[in-house]
Amino acid sequence: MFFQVTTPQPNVQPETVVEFFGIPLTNAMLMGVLVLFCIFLMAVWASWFTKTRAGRFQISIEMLVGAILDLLTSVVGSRAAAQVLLPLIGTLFIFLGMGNLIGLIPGISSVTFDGVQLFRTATNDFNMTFSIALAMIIFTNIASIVSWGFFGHLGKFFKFKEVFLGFREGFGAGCLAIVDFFIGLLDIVSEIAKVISLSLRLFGNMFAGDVLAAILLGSFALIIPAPWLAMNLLVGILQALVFGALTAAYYSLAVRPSDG
Amino acid sequence: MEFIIDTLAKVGFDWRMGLFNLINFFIVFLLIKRFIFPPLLRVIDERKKMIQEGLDNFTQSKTVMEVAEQKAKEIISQAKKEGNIIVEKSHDEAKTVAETMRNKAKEDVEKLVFEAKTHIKQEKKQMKEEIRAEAVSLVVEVAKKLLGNEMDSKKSTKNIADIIKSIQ
Repeated sequence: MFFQVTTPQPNVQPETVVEFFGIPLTNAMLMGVLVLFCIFLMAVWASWFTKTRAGRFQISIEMLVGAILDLLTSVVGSRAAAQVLLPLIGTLFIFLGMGNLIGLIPGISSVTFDGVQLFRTATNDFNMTFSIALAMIIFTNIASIVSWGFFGHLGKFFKFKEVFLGFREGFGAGCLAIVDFFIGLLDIVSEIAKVISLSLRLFGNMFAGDVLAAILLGSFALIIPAPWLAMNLLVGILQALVFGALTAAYYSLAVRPSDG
Repeated sequence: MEFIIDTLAKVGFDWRMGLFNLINFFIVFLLIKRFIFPPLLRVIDERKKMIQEGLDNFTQSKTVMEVAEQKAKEIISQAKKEGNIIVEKSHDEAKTVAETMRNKAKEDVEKLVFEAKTHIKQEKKQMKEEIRAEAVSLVVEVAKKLLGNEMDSKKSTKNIADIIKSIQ
């Protein structure tokens, strides 16, 4: 039909472009490297060209940093803690945001190498989202150990002390403490669930975006692209924001309130 | 553990790719932490400081201006008070001077009048004497003419003078 174009259905797994010392280099990984290159250029610019009398580009970047800092302050509750978390959460937001959005540049997905699409949305790869989510949950657990101490941190999951203290207080309080003990054990599952939910949320949204784009562009190629791109921009920014905000929330829950 | 690895493998997870992505993310984190945020935050801080300094200067200038205005008001009010006092004083002085001058003029006038009166009195007395002398000589002359030079002129003059005195 007049409005239809043939677009390949995206696979769940990214395609391998080349193998490097036996390690498959996928198109999503290449996009990750492209994002790294863009951030490297940004770092060069930030090191040499930032001025007190800022231009439009610098003001936009400063506004972005200010917005991330404000968001973090509202999530963790204090400006000082937000400033400590800013580099990590800012990196998450910028890296994932760019990873989500850079694939929307028209034509970038059409570049091929040896018949294989060279660039694929970086976050449209479960390896990427899972590894970062895992790293973030490990980070929050390390922060918890630093804040509460090793046994204090373990005490969040294995509440033997509370059971002992509960039964010393009375039978009713002891029974409640046993319930609390099982809730503590469930928190171990919740830590694993955090990794899965963080990674699958981002991956699922970005992959669904690609699948939907392929379907919609296949049916209404001349009408859909502009609104669809606008919506994908919004989804890309929103997902990066959600990932960063959730990591900040997990961090603030993991550490002592005075440390957070 | 094996179950988790199998499940992850089923959804396409490869630990080597995961590690590659993680290293990529870590490099990005280092770049941002070391080279992007510090200069940006420094510039933001500098600008904030500049704005704060500007605001402080404005507040300071405002305070100085307010103090100056207050001082000016006080000076004006003091000057007005002093002016009023001077005007009042000058009014009083003018009154005193006017009073003094009026008194002096009165005294002068009185003195003049007194002098004039004295002068008039003297002249009147002098005139009276002259008239008397004139009248005596006139009477003598008339008597002479009437008696025909019979009488001693010296005696008759004395007699006439006595007569006139008695008349007076």
